[in-house]
Amino acid sequence: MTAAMSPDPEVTPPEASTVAPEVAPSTSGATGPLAVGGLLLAVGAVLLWRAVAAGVDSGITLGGPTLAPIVVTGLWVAVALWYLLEAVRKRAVATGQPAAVAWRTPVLLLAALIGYAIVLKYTVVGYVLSTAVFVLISARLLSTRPVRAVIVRDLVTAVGLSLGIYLVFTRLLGIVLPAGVLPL
Amino acid sequence: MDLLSGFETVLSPQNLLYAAIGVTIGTLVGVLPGIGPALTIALLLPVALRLDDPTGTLIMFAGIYAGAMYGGSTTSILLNTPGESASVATSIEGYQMARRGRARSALATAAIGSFVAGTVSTVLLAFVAAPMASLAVTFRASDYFALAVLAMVTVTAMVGASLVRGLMSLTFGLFLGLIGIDSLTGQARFTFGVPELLDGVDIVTIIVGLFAIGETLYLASRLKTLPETVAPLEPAGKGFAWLSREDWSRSWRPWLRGTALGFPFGALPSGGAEIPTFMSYTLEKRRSKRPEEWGNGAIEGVAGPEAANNASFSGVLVPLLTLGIPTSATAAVMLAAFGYFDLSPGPQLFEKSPTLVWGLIASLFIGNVMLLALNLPMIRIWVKVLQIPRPLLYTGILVFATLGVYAVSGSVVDVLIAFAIGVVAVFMRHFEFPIAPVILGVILGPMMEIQFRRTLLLSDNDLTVFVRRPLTLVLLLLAVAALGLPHLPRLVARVRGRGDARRLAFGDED
Amino acid sequence: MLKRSLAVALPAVLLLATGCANQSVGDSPAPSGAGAVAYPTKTLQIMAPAGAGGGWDTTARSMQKVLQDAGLLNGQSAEVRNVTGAAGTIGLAELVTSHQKDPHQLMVTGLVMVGGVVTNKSPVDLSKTTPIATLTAESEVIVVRSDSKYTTLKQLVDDVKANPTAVKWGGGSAGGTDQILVGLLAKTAGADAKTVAKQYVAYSGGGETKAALLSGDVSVAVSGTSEFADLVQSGKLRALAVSSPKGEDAGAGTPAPSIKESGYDLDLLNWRGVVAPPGLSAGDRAAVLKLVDDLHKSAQWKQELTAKKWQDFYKTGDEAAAFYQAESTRIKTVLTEIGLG
Repeated sequence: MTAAMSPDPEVTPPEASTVAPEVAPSTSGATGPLAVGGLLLAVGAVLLWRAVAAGVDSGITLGGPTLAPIVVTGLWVAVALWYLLEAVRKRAVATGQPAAVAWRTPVLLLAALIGYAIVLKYTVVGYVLSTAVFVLISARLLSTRPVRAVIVRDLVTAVGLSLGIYLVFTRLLGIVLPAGVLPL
Repeated sequence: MDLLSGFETVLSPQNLLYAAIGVTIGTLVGVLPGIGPALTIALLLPVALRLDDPTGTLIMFAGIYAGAMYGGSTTSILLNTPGESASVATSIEGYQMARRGRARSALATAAIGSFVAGTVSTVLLAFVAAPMASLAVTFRASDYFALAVLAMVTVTAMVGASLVRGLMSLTFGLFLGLIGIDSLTGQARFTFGVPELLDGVDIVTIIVGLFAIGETLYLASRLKTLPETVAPLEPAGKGFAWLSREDWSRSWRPWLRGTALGFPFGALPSGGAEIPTFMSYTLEKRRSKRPEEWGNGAIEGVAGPEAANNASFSGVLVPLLTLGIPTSATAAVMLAAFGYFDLSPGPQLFEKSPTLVWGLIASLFIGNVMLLALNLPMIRIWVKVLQIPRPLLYTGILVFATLGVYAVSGSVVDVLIAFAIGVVAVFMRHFEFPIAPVILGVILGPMMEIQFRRTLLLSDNDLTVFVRRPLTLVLLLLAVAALGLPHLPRLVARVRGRGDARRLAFGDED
Repeated sequence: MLKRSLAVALPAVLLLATGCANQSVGDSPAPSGAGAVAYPTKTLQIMAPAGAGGGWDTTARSMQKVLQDAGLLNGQSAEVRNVTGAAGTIGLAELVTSHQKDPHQLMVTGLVMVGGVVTNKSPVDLSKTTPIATLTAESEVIVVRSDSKYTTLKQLVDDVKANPTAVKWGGGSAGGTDQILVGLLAKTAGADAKTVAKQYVAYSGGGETKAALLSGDVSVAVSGTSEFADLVQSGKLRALAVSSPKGEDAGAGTPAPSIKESGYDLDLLNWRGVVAPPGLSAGDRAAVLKLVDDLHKSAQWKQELTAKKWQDFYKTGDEAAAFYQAESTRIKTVLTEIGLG
């Protein structure tokens, strides 16, 4: 699971760098599915191994808790293998390359999200300030227009959204959010 | 009659307010891309729990579901990018109508059709629910297991364009469902030494990850190809002349046929509304006397699917309320909401909380009236909503997503798990793995496993119990028959000697 | 039973308490002495180590409400925050590791957490905290369908003793209060506790348990008394016994006998209480104890107890510490015996 969920750029399919001029509208390329299939198979195998190990430890019975993990991870391995075989078969007849995908923005956005969550929990910055900063960063990352054109709009949204949520949640709903350094 | 007492419940000022808030939020998220009813309800759960009013909250949630169906049609007609998967069929003819200056007629047949379908199907729900619930009182663990098998088979059979990708999504969901303490023995499974995983991955965390985080990160990878703001078509014309006499006469039959398709399909565990909307679209196209209009704005192609997607919601409520079995992502979150209030949907719910059940059903009638009033006269407001700049909209979704998970769990680990699931979801979207089977796997997998093991425990490991009990056996045989369901249109088409039938498949978030 | 384990546990607790006191004198000499007057001096944080809507959350919010309404907070306010997960042991771990010596961090706890520590193999248990008080309790009830052949607890237990697999029990989550009661009952009655506990089928919530009992999946169900009161009242279910020391009304209008009155020396209450982080100075501890004592004495708290149908179950200071210790020992023993420890 850890492997499947990590945003490891190494497992990112290589379409981002190799964009052919003749772009097909499909989003799955030729080598991407192969990498995905391989990864799925590897993760499935690790999980299956863990499930079987747990079953051997405490015994496998029809009504016991160790059977379902083995069945599900076994199914995972089988489906991943099937997917991989289809990918290999399609690769042989693949013609087009997928559309241009820029992975830089989502990776930066994810980093901003993780930073936001950690600042929220483990520092004294507080909800309003960290949310306002996150809104500014995220809005910038998601925008394709120049900063000058949108900065006022973004600032107003950042302050309004963070302050609004904080006040509604803490004052009206009794849900605690970290107050932090601001005197709220 | 129970329904009358339900109206008594819902007509209190407080519950009317909840219904109004629900349908307004629902229309809003239906209109907006990137956020749907399942995610909205998941994000509202912490707020709802603070209100400490299960009846009001569930009335609000039902309003959100219904409102999203209405709102979704607005976006698909004016913008050709459906806000919800259930509105995809609507957009085909609806957008063409709008381009030809008939946006008001399209919006009107969608809204009135939704109203008719919502009302008729709620009447059906009111009649079916009570007998179904009293039947369900006799259901045993083996029957619930067979039901879960039936649901699982239907889901598998309808996973969409690619069977292997659909199965992979389903398997991922089944795996997520296994994480945590086994509820029968207390044994930890796949927790990898993380104590936060002992209770399993919360459905809110999963939905936020799959829909909010996944959708936003996916969009971020494709910014260059998308415009920053959109320009919806303005519905021309003024006053209340929404539908001409001809429009009426062409719409009312598709409305009723759409209802007839939507209600039963909603009750099937097939992911909600997309299948019946496409079936309705195909049906109306075949029956049409004006084939030349199709593709150029045939009003029947809006009326039928819109009726179908609203009718399906009442259908979804039948298994949800009487058996506790969710048949779509949104229903799965509503099931979670019941759980948060310590209520178990199922036969006991009708005995223990009749006020809630009948109030909820009655609220669907009220909600439909409100939606009609909210959508047609106020269409210009919703058009304005569509113009929220995309960077701000998606940033808002991220902020609310983080807040939703954090407020429910108080733990940053859960937030990080949601982000991780979001990363998986980006790759799922990129490589065209469907999302909805994940949710159904998370819900149905544990249900199937636990009921199977309970049955064995109760029968002292006697497997023959699955064939000795007639009800169980019938349900299991139905499951076998359901394997053929996706091929039904093809079979029908073959019998009728036509070739272009598509396989049935369901969509993501309804 | 209870008194016996209490006697065993008391010396250990006294040792622990003196240890705490010594340590605190060395660590924070400034506010020592029992004359703690000004408390709380900042916002009081009450952690509910479970999600919103559950028993701990309700207890925490009732405390918050009463503390504020009765004006016990020295001009400060109280906040409730939820930390969910693993029968409260995630919240417990946070309290013990992140909030040492902080008298403004309180946590609601209860019997379920004692069981959760055992079943989840949590590295941190309640002995690591500074026990403050127990506040409320709810009894458990053992019910059968009204058409069941069992009319007394003794008939049921006799059957179970003769054939431990004859009766299928239904109740809440595995290792929770309901299964603990089944295990304790079997053990006290001299039946094969491990086999009996294996006949226990866990359901998520009272609604599912009711459905399973009424459909005939299980023949006996165990749950909190209030959960089944409506069905007992309507005559669909019969209460065989309640788990409180004395019999009480389980919905039928007349008191149902207690387990003890049925001839088995056992009582078990689903109690809830308050703990503070470890390492509190003696002065801080005294201040927290006084605050909770004032809370318990207030008229507003009495109203909350009535409104929420909670029994008053107040033990404070060393008595609470000894009780926590005794319950931990007893629950750990029975859970280990039935194979969940």
